[in-house]
Amino acid sequence: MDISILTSSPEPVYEQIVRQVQQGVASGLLKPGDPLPTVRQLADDLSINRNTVARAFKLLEDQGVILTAGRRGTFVRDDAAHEVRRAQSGQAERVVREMIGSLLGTGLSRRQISTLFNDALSKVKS
Amino acid sequence: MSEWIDFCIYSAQALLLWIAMPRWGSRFTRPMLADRNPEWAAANEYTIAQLEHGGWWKKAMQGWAIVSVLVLMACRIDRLPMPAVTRRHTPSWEVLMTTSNLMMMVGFLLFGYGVWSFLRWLKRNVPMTERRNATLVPRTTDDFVPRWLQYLIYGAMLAGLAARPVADAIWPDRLRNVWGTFGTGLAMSVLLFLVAVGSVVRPPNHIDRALGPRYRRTEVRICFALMAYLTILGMVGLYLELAGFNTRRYGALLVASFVCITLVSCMRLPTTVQTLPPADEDGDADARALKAH
Repeated sequence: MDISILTSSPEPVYEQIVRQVQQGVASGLLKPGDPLPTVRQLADDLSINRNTVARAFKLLEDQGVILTAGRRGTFVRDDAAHEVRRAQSGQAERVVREMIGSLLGTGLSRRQISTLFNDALSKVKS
Repeated sequence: MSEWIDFCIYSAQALLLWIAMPRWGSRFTRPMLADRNPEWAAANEYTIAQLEHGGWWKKAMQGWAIVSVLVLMACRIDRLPMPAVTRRHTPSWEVLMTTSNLMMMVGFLLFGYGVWSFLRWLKRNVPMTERRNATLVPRTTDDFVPRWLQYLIYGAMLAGLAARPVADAIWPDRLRNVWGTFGTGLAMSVLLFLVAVGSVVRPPNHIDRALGPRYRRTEVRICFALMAYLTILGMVGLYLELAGFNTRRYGALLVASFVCITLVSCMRLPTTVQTLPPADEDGDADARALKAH
């Protein structure tokens, strides 16, 4: 699997790496037990600082997506897909909460916000 | 054996190294620059054409190749100004070998300076593209050379290094310059090992994209082949030296021949250099260009 980063993107590079690894796991391109490149290899291939890749790997490890096994390397965890789903739903929940908070701040009622969400959802479905 | 054979091999080596290789390598200028920044490459056609045509460096290398052949010829026909004492006590093949090595060293310095200058220019003038790709598949030496073969070559290399001092301890006074040869062998082994490891871990470059995955595979395998070749050569040389033969001449000629064959093999590799699509406003062309490889 290949990843692609855009250094001029407003999304930090380490988050781009995390997101793409998560997408790879969710889509099945990265399977449990698959080895990942070393921090050095990925940083050199992308021509970015090693700390950036190390930060992304640390975040993925904290999320339970990958496992660093010392000198043996870094691998996709057995329950990575479940952890990615959990991380993604947690992230989605945070985004929704933030949005609801800001909408409440504008003076909209809970009922109005709910209606707005339902309308938006129905449009996305259609 | 006629010293004209020595002259021909050393001359071929100089011509291949300093004329044919830079000329062959210049066809990678465009893909290299396009690989680093497609937009810059599309906007600087004139600069790229000038670089492909070759500047002072290419001319200097060609000049050095001609000077090397002329100096070797002067050695062969005994017209090289050198102290009469040295000339009287040194066989003609050894003068040719030493002169060739000396000219090669100066050539490599010139070559290295040219590469360093170009990379410095590249860093200053061609910014890296904002979109970059990488694989999430790890690269290891095992992908290119089976592990048993790696261990076999490393083992043989260590045994070959240890053989000379051991042979000197068993049969004293039968070998010349034991520790000098050991030091050279050790330095060469470490260098080749580092080059092999470097070939595996280095990021993909324009040549990889132009020649495909078989370029890195060839690069790594050549390093291991060189390790094996030099080990075998050293062992055979040691055996012949113990048997009373002087193998320096034939060893040097074999190495020079190997260099020539390797360079010719490299030049025969197909160069499917791809044309990059023009860059568009949203930068998708960069991604397409990189993915196309």
